[in-house]
Amino acid sequence: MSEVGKTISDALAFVSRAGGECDALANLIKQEISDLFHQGPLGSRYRAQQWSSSYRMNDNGWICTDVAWSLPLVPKGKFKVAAHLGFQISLLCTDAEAGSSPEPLLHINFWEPPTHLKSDDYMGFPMSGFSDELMSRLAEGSARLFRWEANKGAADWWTYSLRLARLNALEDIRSSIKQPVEALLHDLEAGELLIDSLPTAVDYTAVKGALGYYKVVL
Amino acid sequence: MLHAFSHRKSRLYRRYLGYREDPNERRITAEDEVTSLIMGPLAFLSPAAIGAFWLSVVRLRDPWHAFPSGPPTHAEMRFWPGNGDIEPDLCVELSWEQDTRILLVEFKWRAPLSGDFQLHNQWKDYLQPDDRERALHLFIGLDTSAAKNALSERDVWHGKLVMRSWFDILTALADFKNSPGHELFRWSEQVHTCLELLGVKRFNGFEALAPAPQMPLDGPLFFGQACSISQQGSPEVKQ
Repeated sequence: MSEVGKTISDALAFVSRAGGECDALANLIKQEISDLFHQGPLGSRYRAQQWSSSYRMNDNGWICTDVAWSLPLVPKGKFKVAAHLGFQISLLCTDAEAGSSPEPLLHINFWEPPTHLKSDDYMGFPMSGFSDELMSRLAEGSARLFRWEANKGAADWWTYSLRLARLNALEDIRSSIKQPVEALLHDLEAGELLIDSLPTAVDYTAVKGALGYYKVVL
Repeated sequence: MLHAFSHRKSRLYRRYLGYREDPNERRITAEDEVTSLIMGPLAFLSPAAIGAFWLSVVRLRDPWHAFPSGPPTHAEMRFWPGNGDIEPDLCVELSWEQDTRILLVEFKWRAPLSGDFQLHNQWKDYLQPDDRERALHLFIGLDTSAAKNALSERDVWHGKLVMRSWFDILTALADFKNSPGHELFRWSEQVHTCLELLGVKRFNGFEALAPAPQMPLDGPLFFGQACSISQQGSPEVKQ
């Protein structure tokens, strides 16, 4: 038996099992996030529409490297979608565009368009438009919440990243996603404090000499 | 049938994925069969086990629904309890001595509601007003959009409609891994395997995955393209 042959089979079987867990995780996250908009304070602020999804393959088309889901949110009393709450599972983040992370990341995004991996609307670098405070946290390597000012009157946009493999049970999803998302949409400052205390969240730091590129602090 | 499916002795489960041995079959009863397949064995278990399962389903996302403490002293699951034209899939009665709670359950499997107001009619017309005081209405489907649409169409439940997916059922079952006694755990393991066959998979976490395969350090080189597959597929490749 060829050793490399066995490795190929084992590796592909492993990727398939990891992909199955990603699908199950995504189902769980969708249920938990949808639940936020059924009742409670967010349920009275937004009407959630239907989830949509998007994916991206690697260059030779053999591996699905990223998959994302987005939930359109319509403010109560309005007819137009104002923002999308989404999450993006990125399995290969080793290059500079993906944050130079040796392990997979799960990004939680709140911004205007749906997260779409075949256009530019997904979590990746380069990125710009940050406040001085955030730039100084990026310089010192302690930035967790990327945030942007939205149009006047709308909620600010933001994104943060988790170490995918640290999510292993329903309680992890509630503490790392459901509760922070609820806090961030209620009060961005209070939500950011919660993100700062999360053991599953990653810190980002500026990449020297590469404007707009940030990498995960190991 | 749970055991026949989980031990791969029967492929009849493909019926619940849309496969038809007889393409001319007119009366499709897959939904009732899935209800009976999954929930039937639970009805034979003890009141404590029946109560633990249904309370876990309710409390998964609606922990504020109060129930008496401790296991119920009596539990009954009545399937398709007709009342005139109204026939819910299941009525669960959980009693703590004289205090009886009702769970009215509608299961859906790859089928829409029977009319826009099926759920409304069950809640309003099947239950008497004093029954509604001590009842919850559960919708369990592959997704919960039909129940959400019913709720946004007209809210007659006032917080008592509990919407769950079959995926949620698997999540609720995960609680019984360490439960005392084995009856609920044994049933939950069979349900877990069966629902996986039907495409409803539980999140087990990434820690549960076996260690990633390692690329042999001194192994023969495969042709370039396939080698790159292996390297990309395995995050812990030794370079």
